[in-house]
Amino acid sequence: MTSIELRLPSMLASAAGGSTRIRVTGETARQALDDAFARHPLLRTHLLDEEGHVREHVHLFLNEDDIRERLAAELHEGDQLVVLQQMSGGRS
Amino acid sequence: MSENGFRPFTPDQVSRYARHLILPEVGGAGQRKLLNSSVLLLGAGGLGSPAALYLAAAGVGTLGIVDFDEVDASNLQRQILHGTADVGKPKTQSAAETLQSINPDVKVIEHRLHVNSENALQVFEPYDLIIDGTDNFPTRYLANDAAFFLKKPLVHGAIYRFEGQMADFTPAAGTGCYRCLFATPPPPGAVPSCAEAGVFGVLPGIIGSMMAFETIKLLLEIGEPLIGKLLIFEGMDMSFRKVNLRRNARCPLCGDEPTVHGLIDYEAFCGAPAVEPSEATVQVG
Repeated sequence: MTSIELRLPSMLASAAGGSTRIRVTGETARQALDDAFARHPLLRTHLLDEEGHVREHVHLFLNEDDIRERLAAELHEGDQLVVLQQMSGGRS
Repeated sequence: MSENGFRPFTPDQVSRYARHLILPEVGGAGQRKLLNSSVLLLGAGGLGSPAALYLAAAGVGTLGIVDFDEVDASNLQRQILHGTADVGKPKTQSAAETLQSINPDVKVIEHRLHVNSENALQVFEPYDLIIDGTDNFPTRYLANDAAFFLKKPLVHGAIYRFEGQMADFTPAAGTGCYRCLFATPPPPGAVPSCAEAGVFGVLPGIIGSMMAFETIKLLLEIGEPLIGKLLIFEGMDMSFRKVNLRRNARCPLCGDEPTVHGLIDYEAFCGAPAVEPSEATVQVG
């Protein structure tokens, strides 16, 4: 199994035991996410909807590329899976 | 006027912009272009402050500032357009005074109003470029849609605690818009605001300064702007990451079969409470 780093925005850290970086394993992005969800079930609620699709306001990047609609993307050593969540702050 | 029809730089301007004038990428032609440019900043807060300060210092000729708020003591930790003596003033007034003190070449136009679907196109129209430094989803979607309909570049920035995001959306490039990235807003309450979650004071300085950098690049048409890219900054490990954005063929605004053909009720779209508009425009400088 390939071991990679899953990087989370800080607003999701509380759903992942307080960490924004998790080592996860899997041959695909979906398997890596399932590995993270097995240890941090609340994370699944934040990232996926009831049908298992990535939520509209969340994106998943494998290194530089958006894979929110292709979670079967194959993983390689050294890859990073990056969760991007919509944020609004700036003026106040 | 010179032979080519341009007003020559004054001795004060030659001195003020000397470090730009010797850059081949800017030079006299570029500096003149900046002086003839106009930029609208949505928000004179965390992101708008550094962006406006650098754009004024760079000699961007006209800066419009949209903000309806007054300076509060809790702003001073990061909103560097405003000082202690400005508490209680309209932010647009405080911003205009600060920007004028930095560079009297700059004309500052105060828009003391809530930008909304009734006034956005009229407010945006005179400007070359829009900077989105707002703090709520309804205004972000409104800014995206209005800039798209007017075919104006939009420099987007957003911050949260120790993290920031920024991108340039240019409708003419066909590389996508904010809605391509986030077709719909998160459910109300799903994403805390800075007021709820806090923000590290220097963070908007970093993101807002980069927004000014990108704005000047776009105005001068130099370098490789963040078009089709999103920059993610994580301050806690000081990492910058660029990810690829794509135009979404299903985007309701710029996709193959758009369903948004005009500005909508963005408070209703985002499930946010409605805000009463107020109107006032003041020109300074």
